[in-house]
Amino acid sequence: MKKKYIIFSLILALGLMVLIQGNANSEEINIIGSSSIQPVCEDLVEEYKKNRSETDITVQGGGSNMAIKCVDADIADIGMCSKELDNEYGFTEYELGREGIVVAVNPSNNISDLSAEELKCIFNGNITNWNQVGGENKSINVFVREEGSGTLDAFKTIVMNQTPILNDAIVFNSQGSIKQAIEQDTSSIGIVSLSYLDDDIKALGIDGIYPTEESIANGSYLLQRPFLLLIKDDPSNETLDFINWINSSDAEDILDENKIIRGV
Amino acid sequence: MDLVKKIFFTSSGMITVAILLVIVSYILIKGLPFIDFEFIFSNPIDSGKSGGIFPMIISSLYLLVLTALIAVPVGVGSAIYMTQYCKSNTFVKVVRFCSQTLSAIPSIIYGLFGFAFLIMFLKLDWSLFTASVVLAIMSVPTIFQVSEISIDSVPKELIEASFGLGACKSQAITSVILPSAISGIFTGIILALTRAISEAAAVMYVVGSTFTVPLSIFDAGRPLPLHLYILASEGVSADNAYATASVLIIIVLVITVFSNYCLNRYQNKMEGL
Amino acid sequence: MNEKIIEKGLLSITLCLFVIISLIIIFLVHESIPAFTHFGLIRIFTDMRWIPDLNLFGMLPMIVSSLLVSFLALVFAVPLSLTTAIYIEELSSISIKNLFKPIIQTLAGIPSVVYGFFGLTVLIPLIRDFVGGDGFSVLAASIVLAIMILPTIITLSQDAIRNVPFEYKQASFALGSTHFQTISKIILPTALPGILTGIILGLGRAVGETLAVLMVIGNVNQIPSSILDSARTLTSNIALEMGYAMDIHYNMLFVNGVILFVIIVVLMALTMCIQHKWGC
Repeated sequence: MKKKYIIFSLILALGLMVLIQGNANSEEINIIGSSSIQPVCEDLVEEYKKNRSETDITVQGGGSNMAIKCVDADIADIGMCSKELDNEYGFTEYELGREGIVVAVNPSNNISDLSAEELKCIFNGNITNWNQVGGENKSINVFVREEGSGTLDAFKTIVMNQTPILNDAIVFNSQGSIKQAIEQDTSSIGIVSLSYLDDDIKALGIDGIYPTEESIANGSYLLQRPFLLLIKDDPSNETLDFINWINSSDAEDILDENKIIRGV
Repeated sequence: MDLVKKIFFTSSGMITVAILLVIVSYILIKGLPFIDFEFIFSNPIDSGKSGGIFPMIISSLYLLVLTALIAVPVGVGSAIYMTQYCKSNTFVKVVRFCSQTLSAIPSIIYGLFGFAFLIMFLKLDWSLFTASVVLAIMSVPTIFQVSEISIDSVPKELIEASFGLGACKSQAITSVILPSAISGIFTGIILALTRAISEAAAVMYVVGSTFTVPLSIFDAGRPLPLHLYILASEGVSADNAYATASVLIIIVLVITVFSNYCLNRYQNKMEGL
Repeated sequence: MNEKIIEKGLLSITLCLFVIISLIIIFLVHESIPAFTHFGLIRIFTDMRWIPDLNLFGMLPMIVSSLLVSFLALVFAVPLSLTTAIYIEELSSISIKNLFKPIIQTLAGIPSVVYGFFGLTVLIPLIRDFVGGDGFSVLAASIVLAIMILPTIITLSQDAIRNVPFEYKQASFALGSTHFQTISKIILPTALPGILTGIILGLGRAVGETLAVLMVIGNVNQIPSSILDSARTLTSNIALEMGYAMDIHYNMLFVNGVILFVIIVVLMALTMCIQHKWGC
């Protein structure tokens, strides 16, 4: 008899879960897209919800193109896209800010500056040893992000002029793992976001310009990418309210904390 | 000569044990110091850099219960049909092949399928419900196969005796076959559910990856294995990753030990000990 | 009347299995058809380059790497799991046998992500320091996979060994053979079909494992020339690029899935053949 009660209460619990859903359905914002923007967006949502607990916002990773696909298919309300869009989808774009992309090496590496041309040669495989650019006699291990990620996309457009990256570059699927790998491997070079830069890895200057907030804001450091929010044509009131709030000063503090650089 | 061989086989057995011990203890040693009340019952801060894993635990629990609710009736039901009702031999063979193939399909294909079918085609939201549908599809074959074997091994005399006492088929099933086969069925369910609760690849495209505590089954969530995967691959925080891994291992250990204990007790009871 | 309803109800539940598997096939194939027609079936299997930007989608390196990593995992796992299974079933006492059961269950229950994480934090630095290369390698992936498929092979071999009729053993002993002669001449040959099934299922699991491999293999898209080279498997390619794929690229990932599916079905058919031929 006991078992029947357990089964009954389980079904009851399930029913209740469904009912709860029925009430909360009305105010929901679905945000999906680039894993680089996800942490910032989560911080923003957390702050936003402090005053508006009734709005239910979910933030999910998945990639920039997932954002385009899902906003286009009306599955998500807001898409997070971390690369320039060829404007063929008809979304409203809202630029959160820009982010610097850093070419980083192990701190033990004596190189601190490379020309854009040298950088290109390292990443397309024409330069394979650090002594060719004035470093120690060590072969270069190149670390990149996977095909399609915003970081790699910007790097390919700005530095590589769309020439292919060398074939045996090790591919990582996140900023954090690249950073870790650079930390552990003394002969490595890789690309990470500015927000991941700390004392464990060393940022290289490109043609003598180092990635700082000023050099990114005024555009002299070329290697940067936009953080875009994509919104379909007829957004809900909740979505509009959220976007408007991002323009407020509360939101600006959070963007600063995350090293997102607002335009000049 | 035989002694040498015996030592050889014994040592390989010991190596297997050692592998398990090394992995489990390495992760527990690195992770346990970071697990405390705070870690279990608080929300993550800064994308998991610090803070706890409460929402992930809740997500995983939801998934466990929901998956069981969907998969157990289907798995056990079809096993009963195949063993007690079905008369066509080819049908049995085809269903068996289907379920064997289903259970061998890589989890990432379930993920692809879940995304293409449930999310893009049926336009379901990213939610625990969607994820548990995918996990249930993954679990059904295991439950089905194990249940089929254990129902098949119920002695024919028992079933015939119950018919002889005037039971109809459904009565024979509920009061004779299921009770005698229950320990096997239970093993199958546990096996399938531990696999489901530790799955990340199949759910990563259908469950979302929010940090908030899911309130209903139609909310998005982030189950523990997915959280660990993101923590480890993003390199967010090694300490938290070890701690999360420890929690996962402990959950699996508890399920394994508890289910073995229940099984033993039940078997002893059935044997009248 | 009531009985009929129950029977029909259970039948419809059983048919769910059909419906699910056909839905999976339909969706995989449906999503991959544009890719087949766009790039051509033959080129997918022969082209060496996978450069989505340039619309090049050769999958040969991934197929080779997937198979290579899985076979290497078998090379590590099969001897260890076979000897372990023999030890547990033939040479150990009851209490040790009872001890092994939960251990192997736990080994099977540990999430694959945990194995990947262990590989990432322990194996890779070890390989980098003691073997060479940068650690992210076919070797690391196949060791992780080998550990993961140990329980599958051990459990199924154990079952096979246990199911060898006791009379065979008795007869062998009666003819004066020693325990080890019995094991190698009687038990193993009789248990072979079951052991083979276990090995094939293990292979299937290795081919299908995604995240654990993704974390340790380095994901360079090439045919590895040594086991210290990095490579990219079919599964990790899906997980890596799913978030970014658009249009044909997106469809191509489903082609990836179809290839995986076909490999698994072939392996399954193989086990069916083995079971049919030896009648077990």
